[in-house]
Amino acid sequence: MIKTGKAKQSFTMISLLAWLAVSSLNCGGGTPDQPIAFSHKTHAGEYGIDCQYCHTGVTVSAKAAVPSTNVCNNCHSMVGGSTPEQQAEIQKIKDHIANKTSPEWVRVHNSPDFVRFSHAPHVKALLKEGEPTISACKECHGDVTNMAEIKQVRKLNMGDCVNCHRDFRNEGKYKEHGVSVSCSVCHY
Amino acid sequence: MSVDKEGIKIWRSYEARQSGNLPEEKWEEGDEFSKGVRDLIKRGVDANLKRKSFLTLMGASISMVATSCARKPVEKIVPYFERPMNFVPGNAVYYATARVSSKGVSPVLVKTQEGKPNKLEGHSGHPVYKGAVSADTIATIWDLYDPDRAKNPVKGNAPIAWDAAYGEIKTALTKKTAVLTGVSYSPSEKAAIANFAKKYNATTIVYDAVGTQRELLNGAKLAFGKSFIPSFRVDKANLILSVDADFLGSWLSPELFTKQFSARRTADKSMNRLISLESNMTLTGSNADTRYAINGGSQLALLLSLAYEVGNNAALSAFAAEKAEASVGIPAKDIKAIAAELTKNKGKSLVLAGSIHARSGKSGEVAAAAYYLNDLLANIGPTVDLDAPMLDETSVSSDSEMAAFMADLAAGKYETVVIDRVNPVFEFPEAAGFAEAIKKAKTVVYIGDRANETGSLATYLLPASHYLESWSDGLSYGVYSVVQPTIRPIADTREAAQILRELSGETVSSKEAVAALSSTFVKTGWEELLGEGFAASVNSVAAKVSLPAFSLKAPAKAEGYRLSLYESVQIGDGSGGNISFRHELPDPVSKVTWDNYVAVSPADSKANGWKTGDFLKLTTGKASITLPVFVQPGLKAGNLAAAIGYGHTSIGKVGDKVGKNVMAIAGFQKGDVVTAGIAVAAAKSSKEYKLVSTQRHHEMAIERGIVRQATLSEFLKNPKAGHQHEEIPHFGKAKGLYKRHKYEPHKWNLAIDLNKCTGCSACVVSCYSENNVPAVGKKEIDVGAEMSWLRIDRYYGYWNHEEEKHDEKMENPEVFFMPVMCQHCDNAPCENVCPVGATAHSDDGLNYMTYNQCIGTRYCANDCPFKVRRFNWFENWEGKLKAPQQFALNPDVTVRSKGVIEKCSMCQQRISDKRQQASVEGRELKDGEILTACQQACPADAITFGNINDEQSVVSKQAANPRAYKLFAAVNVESVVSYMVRIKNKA
Repeated sequence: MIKTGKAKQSFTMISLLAWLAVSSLNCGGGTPDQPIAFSHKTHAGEYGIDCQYCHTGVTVSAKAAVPSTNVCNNCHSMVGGSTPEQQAEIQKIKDHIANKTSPEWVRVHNSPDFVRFSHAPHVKALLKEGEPTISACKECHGDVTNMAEIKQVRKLNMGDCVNCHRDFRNEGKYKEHGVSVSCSVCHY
Repeated sequence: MSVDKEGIKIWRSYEARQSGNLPEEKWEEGDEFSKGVRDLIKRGVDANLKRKSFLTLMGASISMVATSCARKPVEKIVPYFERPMNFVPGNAVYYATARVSSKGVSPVLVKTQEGKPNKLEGHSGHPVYKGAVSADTIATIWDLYDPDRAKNPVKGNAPIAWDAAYGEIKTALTKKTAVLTGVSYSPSEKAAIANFAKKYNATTIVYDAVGTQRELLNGAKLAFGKSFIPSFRVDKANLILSVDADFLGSWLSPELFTKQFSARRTADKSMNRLISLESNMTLTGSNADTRYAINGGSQLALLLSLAYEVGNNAALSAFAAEKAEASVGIPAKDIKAIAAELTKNKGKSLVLAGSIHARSGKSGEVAAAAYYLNDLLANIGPTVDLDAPMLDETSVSSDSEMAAFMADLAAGKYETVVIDRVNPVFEFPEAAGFAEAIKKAKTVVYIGDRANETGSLATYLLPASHYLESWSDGLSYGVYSVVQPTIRPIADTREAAQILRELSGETVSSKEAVAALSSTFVKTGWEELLGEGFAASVNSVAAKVSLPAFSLKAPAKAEGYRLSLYESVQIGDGSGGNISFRHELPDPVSKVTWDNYVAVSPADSKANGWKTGDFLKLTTGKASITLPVFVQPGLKAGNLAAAIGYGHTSIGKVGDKVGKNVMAIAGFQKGDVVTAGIAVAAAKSSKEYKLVSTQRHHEMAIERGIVRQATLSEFLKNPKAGHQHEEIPHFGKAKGLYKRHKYEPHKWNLAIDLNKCTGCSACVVSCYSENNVPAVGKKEIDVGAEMSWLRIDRYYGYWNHEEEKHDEKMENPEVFFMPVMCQHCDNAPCENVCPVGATAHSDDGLNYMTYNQCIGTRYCANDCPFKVRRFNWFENWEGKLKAPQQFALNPDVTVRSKGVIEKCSMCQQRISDKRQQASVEGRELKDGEILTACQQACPADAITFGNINDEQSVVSKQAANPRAYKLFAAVNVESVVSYMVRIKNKA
């Protein structure tokens, strides 16, 4: 439950930290400092790039995945930005590309280790034929096309998950999806 | 022969039987639960946490919550610079490779996640192995991440660069050189050794630590004139006779033999029959339809006696049954009956012999006698297949070569000795004097994975990569396999063969060397070969048997005490002895963990007052060893047995000083190792020892009808045979307290066919690996705190009172194996008592355990009639893992911390994975798509998992089989695990 590999701590400290970790999930809304001021508003909003251009795992894997740096290079080999602020930020990714390194992003959506969440079946259930991927993603991630800085908009705590599962369960057309509220759906 | 009205009386240990202190008989208050619980509570809870301070802290943390938003843990995401093609983060990638060891070429499928292997499976597509995998092979994942492996080349005590070491070694190699290596199944490794020996004009010594392969190679040389190991087709034999060849446990390729054996345990007329004649109680004997305990060291006399009774060759008349019986310890009439049965099954029988357990004279004679007997029975061809041999022609050093080498080494004639991954200091009998002799060599180069007993004496230690980091190949059973890396070497190590190639001055990479060689064996393209992991290659050996020239000594009556050494299922030759899980895995028969011991027959125990836990000093000549006693039913009076592979002094933190190295007492005569029938004097010492066996752990309160058995003839007449003890819950009127649930669309069930299960324990190790189950060590197992989610209960018993009376000395009790995991009861007693709802039922009919909800009352464990719930008394992972061990953990399963209960989840992570995959692909789940870890590992195909709502599923058919029954049906728990009656094919 608690991440392994850290220094040995007493049971009391661990339980205290666990308590904090769980409870702090209720907060949401944080916008931590990122190494590069990447704007979803510009990319997904202004230019209308589909979510799956970068987050390729979202329909096939548990993880949506942050794109590898060479995906940035697809455009930024040409695109250098129009304002000095943009140019400064884009220069950072160009440096990474030149050095073959990757930026260390700070995770915004972080569920505890004892929760198992898989993107693929959720996107499969929410994404309608012919719609852009954002129509499914916004259900949990909000309207990222308007977010200059990405932030968590829903609580994404257990009540949040269970309420949604329950709604879907009671809705006739989703019944066959087997949306369950058993603990073992997320905890194992 | 049938079960009497009272059913089969079973018991868990010799001591319990003797004292009558059994469940339902005289189980004393408190016997049901571990006596160590109080101790655990004291150490586990009181020492760390007083209740009062706990409450204070909880109060404090609640008040802190309101202001704790900013204190979210910071986690980084570092993407790839360039993601590999077709790689999706979060999805597992599987590689087909093979483990080449003394057990042949074992095909494995390696699950890797984010570039790190974390689970090994059998390769179900393999034409010969068909997915079979052994407990030992599954455990090699932990060898990869063993923190005690050598990390870089070492000279003396200081690290040295590869090139510098090579330069110095190459100079030393110009002097008189010997190279020591093991029997190899790898063409590329054999080529590397041969080139190396040729280049430096070195003497090559090939030996085999356990001795089974050497025995069979030398046996074939005697019988066929060629040194190879044929393919023993256990699946083609109607009658199998094993003479101290534990082919279901540790002999040659046991996982493959288990697969082939169990394929014929079908409970119909095509069922095979196994006769086992053995001097120790092994897995093979435990599963035999007919078993005899014989005297250690009498195997050759027994085989020749059978050969005489079958073939009437006058040259063997000294071995007529009447003359051999005193030596072997079986009545002449029984030897004759076995011979008659073999004759009746000509061309459809199979005689297996020749192992460490029978090394009593000249190497190869026992195996040659078995080949000869097989030839008399017209089995060469049909069941002893020469077309696709297990090991094609391979040279192994003869006894005279071994003797000459040891003499020359001791005389200082070799200036340089190169040792390739064998550990002679540990593996040779002390009597051979290797540890002293090697000091005479000026330069010793050790190629191996660590500074073990031999490596620590070496001048240079050149670290060899694990097979999961290596390019290599293997050829066995007519299939050529490629060993391909699944991870880059974790430390600065290289493939052993590559080190030899580089020392020989070859400049090819290991991959190029293997690729170039592969084309001489198979036509398949390289990429395709890597995808599959193997391709068919035919390597037949044309050979004819002639009566070998045996050193015929008339059989002598067995007298005094005879010690026979054996290879255990869990530790084997001992090279994997630094892995806690191998020690934690109970011996399949004795259930002893973390130790070796001397097995003593019940008759000797009674006669001499030797009890389990006593120390016995065994002396032969000048050598002696003191081992703890374990009273083992199934041994003949006068016979003692002890496992090799224990008692390391330099293998690592875990394995050092666990047990004792019995090679201290093994013989070394004219270049041959003697490990069977060693005449010893035995004396009890005054000291006592804590030997920990799990045989009475988690004992269930009712023993009636737990294991069920019937003979084949009975079963064919009455399909309900074996169910004498079926008890109907509440006379069929049980209603239960709660309204019944409907489980849709899936209701998962498990079926375990006890007729196929051999007790090999591959499932137990697979479960450890898949579910992040911790090893806890000897001290905690002693108080009953082992964590295994899946245990194999072993029972002894007799069919009826007559049998019991007949076998007063307890030489031949029936042995039963029963894998027990959470039974996922529909009326689960655990669920009702959990005060916080941490354990409940899911929509698909499983009893789940929510770790983050659990507060550790342990009420559930107390209520479980099957005793399958495990409590984390201590922090088993946090702060205890040493890099890189953490990579062996399965990222799909939560790592549990102290204070929570855990238990079998029926591999919920695998169910979820496949269910989600089906949902994403917009289809229904297919039957057989979800495999639990125990099911996938089971080489016997005894375990089936599936949806009981689907009438066509295999598990539904199993549950409807007349042999199916449920544990404790009478208690009305409505478990979802079905067991199936074991059928014995009695003559």
